[in-house]
Amino acid sequence: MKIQSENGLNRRTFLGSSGLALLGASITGLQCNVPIKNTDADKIGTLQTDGWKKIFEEAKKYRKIDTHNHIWTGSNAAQVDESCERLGITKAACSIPGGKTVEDIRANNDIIIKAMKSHPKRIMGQCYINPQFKKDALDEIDRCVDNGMVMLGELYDAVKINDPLYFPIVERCIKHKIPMMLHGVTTLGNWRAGYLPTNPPNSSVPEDFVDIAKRYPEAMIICGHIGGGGNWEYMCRVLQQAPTVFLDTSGSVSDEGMIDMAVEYLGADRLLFATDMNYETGVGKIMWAKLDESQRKKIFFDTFNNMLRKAGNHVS
Amino acid sequence: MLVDISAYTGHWPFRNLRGNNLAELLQRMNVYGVNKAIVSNLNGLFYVDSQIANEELNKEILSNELFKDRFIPFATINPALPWWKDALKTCHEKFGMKGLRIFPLYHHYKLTDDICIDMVKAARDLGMPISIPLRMTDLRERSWFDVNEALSYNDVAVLVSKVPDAKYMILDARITDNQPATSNESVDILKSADVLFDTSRGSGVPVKGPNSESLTYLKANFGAERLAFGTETPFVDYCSPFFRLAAFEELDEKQKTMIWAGNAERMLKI
Repeated sequence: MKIQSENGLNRRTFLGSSGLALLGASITGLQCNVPIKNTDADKIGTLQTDGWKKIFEEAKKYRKIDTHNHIWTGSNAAQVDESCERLGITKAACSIPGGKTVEDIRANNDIIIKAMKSHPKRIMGQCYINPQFKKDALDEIDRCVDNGMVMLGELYDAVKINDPLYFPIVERCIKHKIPMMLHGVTTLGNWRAGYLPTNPPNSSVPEDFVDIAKRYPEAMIICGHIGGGGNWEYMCRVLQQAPTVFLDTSGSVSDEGMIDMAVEYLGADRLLFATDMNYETGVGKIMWAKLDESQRKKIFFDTFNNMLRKAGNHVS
Repeated sequence: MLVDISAYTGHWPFRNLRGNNLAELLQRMNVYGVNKAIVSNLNGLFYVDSQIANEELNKEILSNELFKDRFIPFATINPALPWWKDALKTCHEKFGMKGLRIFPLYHHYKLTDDICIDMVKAARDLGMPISIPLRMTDLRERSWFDVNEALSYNDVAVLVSKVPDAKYMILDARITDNQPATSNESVDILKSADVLFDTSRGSGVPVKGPNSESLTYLKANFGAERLAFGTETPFVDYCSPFFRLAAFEELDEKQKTMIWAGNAERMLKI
């Protein structure tokens, strides 16, 4: 290899020096992120050709349940199935948020039920409801649970999660022993006066999750997408005050240090792997984060699977 | 061989970065198997005199023997500065910088301004590719001090139409929310010029998530010979960009080689 020979290194010296540690590290898949403190050449290491391939293969081996995904335009059941397969995602919980009428919402949930039936090994169902429809919303939860859906999601911005309209919804989830996941936002205009909100004003900010969690500490409430495009530092600092709220790791944002801050402030036990249709970054950000093996397994699979276990919906 | 066309050193005023120096970047490159990376100095977006950032970058590259062969420095120059021609000449001749990165939104000019077109032509005449990041961070997480817009393929196409014989790299290649769709005319312009699109925001799986690009779309519209691997480090996690290309199974071996390195090597003549 040109660069090694230029540095006076051959295979033996490479494996006998820091290269061995680095090579071993990537084989385990645990030390993908290896920041250094100085410019010492030994710390910089030597080039490991195709090092990324080993990390990718290791990433695929982890069992994973995607807490937050969607059936959508350009994301039908077959496309979700294939995309999951390429990243080694065991199962994906999918929803179609939206619908102006009770009938629209039922029709969307029916599409999810159909996807669950066409791809039972891959797709789990999330039931979408609008709390403004009160009794109809509760009936829809029961209908969806009867049809095998495992949770509520992605609840959106019709009303804030701490609005009293949500109280019976949360109580119904507690009764069914199922989690509920709601779109969380921290875009500048949604938390700071004087800036145009880029999400509707009824979108839930972290403070709203803290509020509802105080009322229902026994509920399994998931704040959607730390990487959904808002300020994730804000999300970590505020959600720290709600020890029973979980945070999913999805969203297109996969900023350096984002997951590490969430682990520091919330703890790995409160983080749930998710993609929100961002498959590569969904997995990549967890592989890059400074996590030990136990933490990574919890985030990818165990914690959410244990939440599903309460209603018998877990993956065996 | 792997060449990363989208890496930076330096600081970002709106959040702390990790790995934002050449030593830490080289360590990442070694672990993941990246042979070379194009780098520019982020400080150049914020200093009034962007040339000082180029001097810093040059000094950093000279600080360690290992850096010279692994990093390909690109200059950051604001054409609004009266001394931009001297800066470009110094970067090219004295510092050996192989290309130019431009940041019109941060340096407050338009891609169609005469000063920009003049600088792009000057870079062209020196054989320096012009690298254009469409945005630096997700606008939804922006600081109140940061810019609140992103460039689009349409914006770049207008510049390309005015200097069609230059070489371009489009970084953070994707459509930002609420931007108008890329016009057929823009696609034709970008297709007919020497333009590389980085893969840092491209989704390789069948589902293209929100706020990302589809590698299938880029390949279908511009061809595999127009894609080039990019990481966008140190802004995003270093792992995901590799997974994007790894998951893009609709490539043959020749196309993979081109995207991982060959297309960048051709444009840079390395």
